[in-house]
Amino acid sequence: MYKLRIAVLFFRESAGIFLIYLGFSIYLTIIEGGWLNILTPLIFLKTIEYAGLVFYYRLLRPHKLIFYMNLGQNIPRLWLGVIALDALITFPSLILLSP
Amino acid sequence: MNLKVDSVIHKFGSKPVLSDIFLSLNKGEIVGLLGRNGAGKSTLYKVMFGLLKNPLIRFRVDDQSYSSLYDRKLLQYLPEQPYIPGDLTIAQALDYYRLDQPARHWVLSEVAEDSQLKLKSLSLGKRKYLETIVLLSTDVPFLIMDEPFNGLAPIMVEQLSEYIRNASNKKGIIMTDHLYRPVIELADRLLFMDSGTLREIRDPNELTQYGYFPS
Repeated sequence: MYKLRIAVLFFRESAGIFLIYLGFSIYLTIIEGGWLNILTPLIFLKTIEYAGLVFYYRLLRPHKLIFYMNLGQNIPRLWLGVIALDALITFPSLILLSP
Repeated sequence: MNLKVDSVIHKFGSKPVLSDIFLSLNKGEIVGLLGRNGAGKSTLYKVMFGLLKNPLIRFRVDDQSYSSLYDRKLLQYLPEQPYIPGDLTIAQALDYYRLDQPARHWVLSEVAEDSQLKLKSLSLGKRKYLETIVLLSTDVPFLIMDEPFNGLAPIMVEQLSEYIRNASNKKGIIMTDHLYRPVIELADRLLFMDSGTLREIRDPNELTQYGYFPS
């Protein structure tokens, strides 16, 4: 529960970016007629999204990671937690909104 | 408990910033690290903590060898700038770090009585003070502090020095601050960093010789 709380906090800090990509993914799902049809662009979008976020945290704002590192959280594992949370939100949303 | 790091080399591009650094720190000891601006102190701290990648770095804690310490809950780092997200309340920040009651009481009596205040609403000095107390109060055995006294009023410098002295019974602390007097007073050992190399200081007067104090 404690680790989940920390992952949710980390996820929340980048919620704006996740929402933008989620909105775009939903838009693509609707115009392409289903989430299965956008699987390849979705993976591409997610790769760009995470590459951007990792670049932002690792190179531009590394001090934002200090809070989590001081809590003893392994940063690569924290990213995996964030990816899992993102998948839990993104995929059900796309499946539900598929025409 | 002893922490050792040896042969630390770090470069920014082709420019060497740290040259063959050896550092040893015992639990229960305060080491003061002094040096002029740009000497490499903050770089050394960031490399040790893992903020700057250095694939060659190895640490020894007693008989165990590690490539990183933060994720084993062996090392924490107080940076110059605030590190706890500003939209957390004081109570939430203390919860995340699982502070015990005496430490919570100290923070609330010294910083703000209202634990529901957000950290971003505190002055820079109070926020820094709170963030320092938080790290001094955890069970993690080693702590790096980069400018803990920066932005603090003299009375708070005095109180924080007292807290650091007490916390050092259960921690090994390495600290840097350009407010050098409390560092010299608190430190059991002094180190001086110059152009990426470390040397032991036996007498604070040597600091004049190395150009840290004006002659």
